[in-house]
Amino acid sequence: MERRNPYVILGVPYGASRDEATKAFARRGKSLRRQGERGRELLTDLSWALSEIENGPPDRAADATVYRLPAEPEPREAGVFAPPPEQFATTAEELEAALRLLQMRAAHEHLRQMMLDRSATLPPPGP
Amino acid sequence: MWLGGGGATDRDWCRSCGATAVGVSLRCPACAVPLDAPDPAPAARGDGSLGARRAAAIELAAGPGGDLGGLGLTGSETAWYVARGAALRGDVRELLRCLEGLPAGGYPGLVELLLHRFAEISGDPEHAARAVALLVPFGDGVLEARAMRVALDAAPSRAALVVLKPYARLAGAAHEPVAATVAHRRRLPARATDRLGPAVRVLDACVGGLAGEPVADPAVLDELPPAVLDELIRTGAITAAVVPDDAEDPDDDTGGGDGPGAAVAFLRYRLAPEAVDDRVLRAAGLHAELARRAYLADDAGQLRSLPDADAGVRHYRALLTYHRSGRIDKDDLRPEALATILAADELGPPFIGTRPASATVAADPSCWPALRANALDEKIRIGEETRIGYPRFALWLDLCALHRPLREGRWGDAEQDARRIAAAGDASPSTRAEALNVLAYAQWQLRRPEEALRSLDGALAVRPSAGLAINAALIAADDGAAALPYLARAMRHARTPDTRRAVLAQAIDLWRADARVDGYPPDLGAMVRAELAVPRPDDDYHRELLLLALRHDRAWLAQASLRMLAAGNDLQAVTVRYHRGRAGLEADLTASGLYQCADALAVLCRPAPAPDWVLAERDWLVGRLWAALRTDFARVGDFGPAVIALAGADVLDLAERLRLSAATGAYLADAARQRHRAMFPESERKLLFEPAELFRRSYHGLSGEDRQQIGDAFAVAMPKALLSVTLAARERAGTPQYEPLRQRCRTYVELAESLARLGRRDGAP
Repeated sequence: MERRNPYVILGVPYGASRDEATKAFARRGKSLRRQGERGRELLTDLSWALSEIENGPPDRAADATVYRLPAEPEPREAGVFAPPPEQFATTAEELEAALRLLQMRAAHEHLRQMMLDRSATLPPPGP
Repeated sequence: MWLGGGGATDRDWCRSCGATAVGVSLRCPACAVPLDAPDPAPAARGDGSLGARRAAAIELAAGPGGDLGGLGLTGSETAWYVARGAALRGDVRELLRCLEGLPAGGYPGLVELLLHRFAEISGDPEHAARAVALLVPFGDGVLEARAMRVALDAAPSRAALVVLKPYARLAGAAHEPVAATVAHRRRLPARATDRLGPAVRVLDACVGGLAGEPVADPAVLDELPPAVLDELIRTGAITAAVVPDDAEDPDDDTGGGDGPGAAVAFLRYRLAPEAVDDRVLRAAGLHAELARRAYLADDAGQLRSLPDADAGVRHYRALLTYHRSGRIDKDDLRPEALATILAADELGPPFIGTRPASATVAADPSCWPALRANALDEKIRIGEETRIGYPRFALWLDLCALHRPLREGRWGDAEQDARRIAAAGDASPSTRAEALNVLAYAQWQLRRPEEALRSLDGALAVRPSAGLAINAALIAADDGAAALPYLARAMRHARTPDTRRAVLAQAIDLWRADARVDGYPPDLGAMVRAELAVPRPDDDYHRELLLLALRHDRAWLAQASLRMLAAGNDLQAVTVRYHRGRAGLEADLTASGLYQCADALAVLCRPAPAPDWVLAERDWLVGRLWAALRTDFARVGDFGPAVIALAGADVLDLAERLRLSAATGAYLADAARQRHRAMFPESERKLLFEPAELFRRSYHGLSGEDRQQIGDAFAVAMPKALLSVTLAARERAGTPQYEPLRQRCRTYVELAESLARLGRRDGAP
């Protein structure tokens, strides 16, 4: 069995930062001070756990000697805070407007073409 | 039509097109209008009839600079004739100037004049704008005027669609089918492909695409607006196969033209959003997606650089601000996101007591990590309705709550709850795997390691990860090296180099500490091999791995290719070469192995002082070279190049260098003599001539013992070498090789005498 796991003792996830560990220590230590002898023992445990995390390697990924709870960081699932790639839900109005634009471009171009053709084939204007 | 003076003369002119003709023709050969007499002289004097003066005006206006002032015509009429003449000559600037002098809308023939020069006018924006101004007074009543006004507008408008079909009827039957298909968004007739402009073709391809026909022409893709591209992708008319690949990268500025542009960049994104990089997004103008990526990368600078006008950019800026400071910008956040953020903000920061989780938060897993601290402290309640509606969230919350029994050492409670969560049908793979992980921890603490390992095996089957494998290894380590297979697994799943290194270090420690393990475990060997295949910046770590392989996996190392032995820098590359050569030498003493090691070691010794391990390896290699001198030449081969490489790198002490060179020279001379040959001249020079000369020069700086030993070495080497060269020369008498061999004999004699003189002065026999 694992003798002691500083993260479990402090109640923080494996890989928690020193800052998170310190906050957890403060939160848990507050209530223990009123619990007499047992409270003092638990406070000693918390102090040990905090110092383990503070003095441990900054990158916990490079430590294979402590049981990991959780085993892996939570997967980043899609949502407001992990937004998926931007979607383009084209509305019927937008599509119609785009088609109308293409149609106008084609009409404009063909109108010019007709005028060029007519200009080339009509006789010169009389006085 | 007004008729000017009549009759053909010796120089006739066409009042219609301005052409002149000499001869007897009564009609213009160009446009078939009756020809007129040219002489404007009487009219120019102002004394002709109105008809004659008008005829004269036409005649004078036909050429540039004609003075119509004396004809007694009104200003407008004069301007009209000049304009007409300019139109016939192709002088568009003069044409427009004169037409602008006419009463607005007063001369309907103006439209015809402008049409006559439509090509020039439409090709110049300034001319086009002036022509449009001249056409405006005619309103929409004159079709030609209206159509020309629309055609000359720089931007297409709805009016183009209105006049298209009526004008096609005026322009001729050939134009009507195309006009009708454009007006009604139909496919073009099969034969209507001549002289069609690109916009008509694009519309046609688009109409076909919407009907399900593939759109494959990149030129068409580039002209389609995003909404149409989107719709065509949805209908399947555009697939990834038709989108130009990197050969037409939007950022390609290597002379390949303008690239595919925004449309193709958009398509690439739309078809594979995660595959495109920021350059493509910029080319497509997808600022919101750029902002999303900057938010995920926590890059406020990049977010600031994006345009304010884009609502998506403002949203992601506000989201990052909330992420960093907790400040909620209600104006810029998207409404649907704002509701979630407000709900999450109720439960994320520290608070006193407990609070209920809303359905909004329960529905969005991206919120949950922010709630973890309060969830671990069981401050977040979940109502029955939310529990039923969002079972995944409920299980996640239950999983967080497991940490209290773990913290308090209530292993039985933790085991029971973890088992229930792992068995829940609604649990996601990650929740199930983590529940099994907690279960294993509780079982381990209850001193049931076999069960704990079974739980972790189950978790690894659900969702393999380095963390689970490391945990399994920790439990298995109670049984020593039994943890190695789990550590090997952890290494395969590790995402960072540091994790891999930590796992390997743990494996090595366990292996070394377990006295029961006999030999080099295959799992550990596989881990070391895998780690050697990845470049590492740490030279010491790299060499440590090579040493492990050299000591325990020699056959593999000797045969390993450079692909299997990555090097993070030049030093590591040489170190790899040395160790690979050495692995080969340990198995078999060969000339090529000796040379490979000597050559690499010569490089490794270059930085002075050389590291201790390099010096130790040098001594080892010298030992192998002396061993080679005691071995049959037929087995080892010519290892002279190895000695030369080592001696040339100045890594040996002088006495040893001279002794080794002389001994090797003697060895090779013997071998050459047995084969009825002389030594290679290059070997002879580097192993005997140059060292002998160096010995002579350095003689007085050497100790007596060194002098004695080196002198003895040369005393053995020189006669052997001389003998081999002499015999070779004798066998080659009368050939071109004879004289050079004789010369080499003389050199030996001279060197031997010179060394003998040194020895005699020193009292040697």
